[in-house]
Amino acid sequence: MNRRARVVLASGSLLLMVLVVLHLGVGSVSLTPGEVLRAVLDQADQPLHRQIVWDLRLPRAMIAIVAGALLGLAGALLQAIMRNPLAEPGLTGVSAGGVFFAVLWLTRGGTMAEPGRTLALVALAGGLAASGLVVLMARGPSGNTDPVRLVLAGVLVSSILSSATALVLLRNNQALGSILTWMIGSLNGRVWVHWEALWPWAAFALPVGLLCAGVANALQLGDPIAAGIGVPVERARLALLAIAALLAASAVAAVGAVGFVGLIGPHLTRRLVGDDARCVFPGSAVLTAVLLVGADVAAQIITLNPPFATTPYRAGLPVGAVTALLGAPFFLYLLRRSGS
Amino acid sequence: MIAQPRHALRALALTVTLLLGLLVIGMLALQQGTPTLTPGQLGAILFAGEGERLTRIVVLELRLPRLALGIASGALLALSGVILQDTLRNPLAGPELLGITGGAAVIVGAITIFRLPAPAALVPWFTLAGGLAGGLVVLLAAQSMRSTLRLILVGASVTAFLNALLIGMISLATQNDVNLLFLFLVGSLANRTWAHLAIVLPWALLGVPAALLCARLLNVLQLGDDLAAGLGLAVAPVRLLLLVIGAALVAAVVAVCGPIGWVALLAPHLARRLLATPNAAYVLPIAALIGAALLTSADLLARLVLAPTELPVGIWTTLLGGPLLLILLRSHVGVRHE
Amino acid sequence: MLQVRYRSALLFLVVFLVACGAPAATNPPTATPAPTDAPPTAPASTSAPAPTSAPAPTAAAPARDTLAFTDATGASVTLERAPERIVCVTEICVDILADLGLEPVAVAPGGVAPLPAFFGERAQSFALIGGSFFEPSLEDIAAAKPDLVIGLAGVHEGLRDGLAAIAPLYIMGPRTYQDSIAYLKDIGRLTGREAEAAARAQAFEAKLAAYREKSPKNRTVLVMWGMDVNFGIDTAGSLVGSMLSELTNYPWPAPAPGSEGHASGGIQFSLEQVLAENPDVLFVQTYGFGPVPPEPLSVQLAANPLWSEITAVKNNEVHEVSFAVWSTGRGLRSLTLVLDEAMPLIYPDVFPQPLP
Repeated sequence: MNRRARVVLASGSLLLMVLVVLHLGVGSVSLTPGEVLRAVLDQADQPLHRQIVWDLRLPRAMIAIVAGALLGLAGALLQAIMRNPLAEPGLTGVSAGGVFFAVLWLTRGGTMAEPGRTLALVALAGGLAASGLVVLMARGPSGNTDPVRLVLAGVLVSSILSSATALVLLRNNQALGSILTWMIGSLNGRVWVHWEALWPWAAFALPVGLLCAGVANALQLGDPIAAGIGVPVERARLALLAIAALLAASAVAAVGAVGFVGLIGPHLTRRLVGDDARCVFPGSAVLTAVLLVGADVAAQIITLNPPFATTPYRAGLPVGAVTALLGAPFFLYLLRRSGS
Repeated sequence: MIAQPRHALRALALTVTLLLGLLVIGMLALQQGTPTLTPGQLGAILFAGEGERLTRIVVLELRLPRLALGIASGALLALSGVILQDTLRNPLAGPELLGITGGAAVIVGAITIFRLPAPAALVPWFTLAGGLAGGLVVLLAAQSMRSTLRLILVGASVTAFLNALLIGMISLATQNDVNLLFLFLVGSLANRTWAHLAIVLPWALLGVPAALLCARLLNVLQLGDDLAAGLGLAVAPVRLLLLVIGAALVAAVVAVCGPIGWVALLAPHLARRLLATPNAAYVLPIAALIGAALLTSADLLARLVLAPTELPVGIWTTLLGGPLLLILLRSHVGVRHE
Repeated sequence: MLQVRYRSALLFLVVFLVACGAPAATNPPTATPAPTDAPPTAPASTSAPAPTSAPAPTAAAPARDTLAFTDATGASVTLERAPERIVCVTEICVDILADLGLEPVAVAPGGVAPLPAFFGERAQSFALIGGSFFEPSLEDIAAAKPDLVIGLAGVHEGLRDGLAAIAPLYIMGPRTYQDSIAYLKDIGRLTGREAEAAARAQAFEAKLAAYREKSPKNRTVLVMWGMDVNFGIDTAGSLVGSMLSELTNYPWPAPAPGSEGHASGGIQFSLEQVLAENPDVLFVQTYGFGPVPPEPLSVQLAANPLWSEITAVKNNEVHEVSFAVWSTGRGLRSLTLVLDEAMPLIYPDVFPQPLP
C-alpha cells in the first residue's frame, strides 16, 4: 500500500470518528461532544440523553458507517469489473430489486409486526435475485459477459423493476408512503434490530471483498492480459460481481436505495490513491462511510420550512435526498475534468 | 446506404401496413371504454353528427384527442430516438438514457408539485430548457460520445440524480398528493383534451418535417466523423443542432404527458430491423409510425386492462418495451457499435 | 510484507465487527426492564416493554387483559399500565383522544388538533413532532416521554423497531367507519374510558342512522381531489366513501379487495366512468399551499370541456372541503363533521340544518 493510500486511510478514519461524534450530537436534542461521550460511557447527565444516544443515535451511526463501507466497496469492485470509474452499485439492479421485493411482500400480506428483520431479508433476497437476472440478461451469444452488456442489462433491468414496482404500488397503494423513503434511502428509525440484521452480512462480505483486490487488479488490465496471467476471466468477473451484489444488497436492505455515495466515494478514492485495487478498496470503504455519515449529519441539521406548514418545525430529510444532491456538484466536477 | 429499390419497396409495404395497423388501433381506441360502441355507432358520431350527447362528448372530447395525442407523441418520441442514435452513432442513445427526459420531467414536476404559476402553453419551453440542460450535462460529462459504456453510465447517473430530485420533491407533498404525483414519474395520457393536444401540435407540425429533413445529415454522420468532415460537413455544429432538435421533439411530449419511456429507444431499433437498412431517409418515417402504433396500443392497454381503474401508459411502455429492447440489443451490442 | 499488513488489517476489521455485533445483541435496548409496579418516576424506561412480550395471560387479573391490544399489523402488545401520555403521529389518534376527553402530549404538525372542533387553542400547548409525515422524528417522540404512540397503517409500521426502546406502537388502519368505531372502543378500553367511548360510538351510530332514515338516497355524489387532469377519488372502500354509500348513491366501487379506496392518494379513475355516472354533487378536498394560492378546483373544472358536462359542475354544486378533516381525520369526530357538512349540501330540502 503506497504512502498516499496510507495517508488517505488514516485521515479518512480520523474524519470518520469526528463525524460520528458530530452525528451523535445532532438531532432534536443537541448534545455537545462532552455530553455525547458521557452518555456513551453511561454517565449521562439525563436519562433522556442516554436513551437517545444509546437507543437511537448510536445504532444509526454504526449502520451508516457499515452501509457506507459496503456501498463503497461494492462501487470499487464494480468500477474494477467495468474498467470504468463511473460504475456504481445500483447498476447491478440491487436497489431496484430490493425495493420491488419489499413492495411485493408488503402488499401481498407480509406482516409488519417485526419490520426490521423480515423486511431486510426480503429486500436482500430481492437485490440478489435482481442481480442474478442482470447477469443472465447480460450473457452474450457466446456465453460471456462484457462490461457494456452488463451495464446495459443493469440499467434496463432496474428500469423494468421500477415500473413493476410502480404497477404493484398503484394497485395496492397503502404501502406507497413507507416505500417512498426506501426508494430514496433513509436512516431514520434504524436501531439495534437493524444493526443485528446487517452486521453478519457485513462481517462476511467486507473481508471477502477486500481480499478480491488482487483479482480485481488483474481484471483491470484487460481480459487478454488477465487471461495471460492465468486468471479465469469469466468466472472471476462473475464472482466479483456476485460479491459486489451481496455487498450492495446488504446495504440496501438496511438503509434503502441510497444513491451516489457508491459512485462518488470510489471515484474520489481512485483520484486520490491511484488505480491499485489493494489501495482503492479499503480507501473507498472508509471514504464512502465518511460520505454517508456526513450526509446523514447534514440531513439532520437541515431545517426546512416547508411551504405548506403553518407552524415552523424541524423537518428532516432522508439521507438519500442529501446524497442525491451530492450528485450535482459531482457532475459539475465531471464536466470540468478533461476526459479521462 | 445507397437507396436501393428493394428498400424503397419494403418501406412502402411497411408504411401501408403500419397505417392500416394505426387505423385498427384507432378504431379500437375510439370504440372501447365506457360506453363501448359498435363501428356503426362510431361512424355515426364521427361523420354524421348523430349520437346522444354524452357519448358524443366522450368520443369527440375524450377519446379522439387522446388518440391524436398518442399518435403525435409516439411519432415525436420515435423521431427523437432515431436522431439521437444516429447522431451519436450509439444504439443506446435516447432521450431517457441521455438525461433529456429526466431533465424535462424535473421541470414539469417542479411546476406541478409546487403549483408554480406557469401558463400551460409556455411549459414546453421550460421543459425544453430542462431537457437540454440534462442532455448537455450527460454529453459533456461523457466526453466521448462514441464510448457506449461511458455514455450509459453517465446517462444512468444523471437520470438517477434527476429522478431522486423528483422523488424528493414528491415526498414533500401531502399524503393525498403523493400517489398522484408518483404517477407523474411514469408518464400518462389520461384525460388529456384538445387543449393539451394544442400545446403539442405546433411542436409536432414543425418538428416532424424538420426531423425528416435531417435524413441526409444523419446518413452522412453515420459514415464516421472523418468521412463526414471530408464530405464537407461541419461535424460539431451539426451534431449540436441535431441534439437540440432531438431534445425539442420530446420537450412538448414530456410537458404534457410526463416522461414516457422506451418508445424512443425501441421504435428506431424495430424500424431498422424491419427495413434491413439504416438509411435514415426510410428509418425516420417508419420509426415515427412504429412509435405512434406502440404508444397508442400501450395506451389502449392502460385504459382497458383494469377498467375502470386506469394505469398510466408509462408503466406499460416500460414493462413491455424494456424486455423487448433487451432482447433486441443482445445481438447488437458489441457487434455493431463500439 | 504488504500481504501481512493487509491481512492483519482485515483481521482487525472482522474482530471489530464481531465485537460490535456481540454487545449489541447482549445490550438490551430497554435498559431497565420495568417491574409492573414500579413507581412511575423515571420517565420513559419504565413503560417500554418489548413488543412481543409475555403472552396476554388469560388467567391473570382482569386488569391485565384490558391492557393488551392487537393492532392492524397483527402485533400483540401488553402495556404495563393504562396509557396517559399518548403521542399521535396520525390524526385518527387526535380524533379519538378528543372524543375520550383526553389530550395528546405531542402531535404531528398540520393536523386537525388546532381546529375549533377538536382542541382549538389548547393545541398550542401540544409538542410538535418534527421530521416529515412519513418519517416522524424519533427523538421528538422520545422527548415527549410517551406511554403509547399511535400511527397509521401503510406509513408508520417501519417505526416499530425504532420505537421499541421508547414506547409501544399502535398501528391503526381504518378502512370503514366501523373500523373507526372499533379503534375508539379499543383505546377507550386501554385508557379506562370505556363509558365515554361507548357513549360516543352510540351517538355517532344514532346520528348516522337518523341521516340514513331520512335521506332519500337519490343523488349521486363523488368525493375527489387533485386536478382536472390528474385526479383521485374516494371509492366506496374508503372511510368517507363507505359512509356516504349508505346515505346516497355512491357508485364508485373499491378497486380491489386488498387495496384501500382512499389510501395515501388515489388511483387514476376513468373519466369516462365519472361522466357516465354523472354525479350531482362533487366534494373536492383541497388544502392551500404554494406561494400562489392555487386556482380552486371548482374553477378549473368549470373551464374544462369534459368536466363542465357533469351535472354537479353545471349546477354549481362543487364544494371545496377541508382535506384535514375529510382525508386525514378518519375518526368519529371527523366523520361527524363530514356528515354535518355534506348532508345539508346534498339534500338541502331534507336537511336545511345538520341534525343535532
